[in-house]
Amino acid sequence: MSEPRRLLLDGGASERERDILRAWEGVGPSPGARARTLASLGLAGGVGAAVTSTLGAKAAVGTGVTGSIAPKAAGIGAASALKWLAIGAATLAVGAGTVGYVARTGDVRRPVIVSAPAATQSPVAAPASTLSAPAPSDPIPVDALPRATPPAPSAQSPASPGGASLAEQIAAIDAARTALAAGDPSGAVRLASQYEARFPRGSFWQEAEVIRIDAMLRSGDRASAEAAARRFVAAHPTSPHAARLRALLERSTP
Amino acid sequence: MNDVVPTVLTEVVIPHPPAAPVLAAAVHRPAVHTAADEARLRSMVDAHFDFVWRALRGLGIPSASADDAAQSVFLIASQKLANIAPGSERAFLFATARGVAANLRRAQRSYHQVLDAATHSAEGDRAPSPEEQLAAQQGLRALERFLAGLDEDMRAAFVLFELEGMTTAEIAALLAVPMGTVASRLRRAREEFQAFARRFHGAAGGGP
Repeated sequence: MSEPRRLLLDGGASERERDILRAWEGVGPSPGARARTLASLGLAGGVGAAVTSTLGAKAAVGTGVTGSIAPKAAGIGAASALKWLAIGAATLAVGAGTVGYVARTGDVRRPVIVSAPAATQSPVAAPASTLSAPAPSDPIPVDALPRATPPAPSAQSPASPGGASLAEQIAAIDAARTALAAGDPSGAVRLASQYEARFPRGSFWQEAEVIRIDAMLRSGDRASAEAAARRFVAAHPTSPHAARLRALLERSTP
Repeated sequence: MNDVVPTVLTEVVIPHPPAAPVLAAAVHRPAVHTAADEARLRSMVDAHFDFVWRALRGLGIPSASADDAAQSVFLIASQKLANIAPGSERAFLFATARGVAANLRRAQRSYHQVLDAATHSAEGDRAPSPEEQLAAQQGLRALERFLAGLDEDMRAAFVLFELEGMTTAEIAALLAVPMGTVASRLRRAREEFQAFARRFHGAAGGGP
């Protein structure tokens, strides 16, 4: 079978077809994108990788984005009860101004509420006490974006394996991001916390936390934002988001 | 059944940092790798990142989301590394990119256009003249519109052959379909493209 000529690359296109196809020549990732992906895989500095290899053995067992052991063992009824409890816990956590997430112990998923106020009383309270104003104007006009539609909590189990779980994660993180872009920081905080609670080992956990911090800043909750940002930077010093958070804190300095 | 009922603990303080890095790493790192795995993963990123990124763009992901989507593709690859046969890395990555793109397209359909309108000007690494830039932007929008309207299989074939310059044999191997199938998908995609280009220039006032 002879190879067909390529429209653009083999000069098979008409002038107008070339006009369209040539636009592809400028398409490519920005210079830092590959490095960021390497960093997210723990392949950048070596620090993250070292921590992982000593620690991650148990966590590595489930290759799905979220583990699925508990619902499998418990059946649908228990899985759905779990889900509602987890969501309830997340809601409760948001109401109390705390961070909610689900910790795993062996095969059991336990929603744990971590008291953020206690954690914020860190003596390392940076010079940031001078900061009070919410973040400056959003680059995307508030009215230009549609309202976020939170993912339906009853759609699927939080631990459904593989692609469905990734789709759920993407929908959940995008809902939070959209709320933030639409000028609804409290909605964004709620949705980002929900994401963290539903997908404690999710692919976009760092993104969720960054959205949550950004949203807290924008809603004027500077102290919580700073505390969360400090924890994040301490936990992920080499994360590309760490630099962004530092910039975020600086930018919103009055 | 008792052990699956979650226990809600209140006022449990987990200290941050020292414990945070450990906790976060356990929570965040889905896979553990040997040094050889890490080397393989790194070389996969180095060799295929740009391909994956552009493939995602071709599959309908706006530039603002392409970094995240590419990251997801490689994260999945890192989780499934043991299942990727040596030599089939690109095929695995492309198949994964298709899945990620399909999920993202569904999730983003509502505000895709708004996002993309806001980020289009950032596309591309070169610094073309304003005229070139305008033409390129119009061309890119047209190309995206065309690709978005294509059937999924034709889109993959068109992107890989026309835009990425792969051979039909490579594409057949990548998609695990016969070469004849690739050729017929390409032929149909190309017919649609030619019709689209005529309509586009008609609408843009360029005339034939």
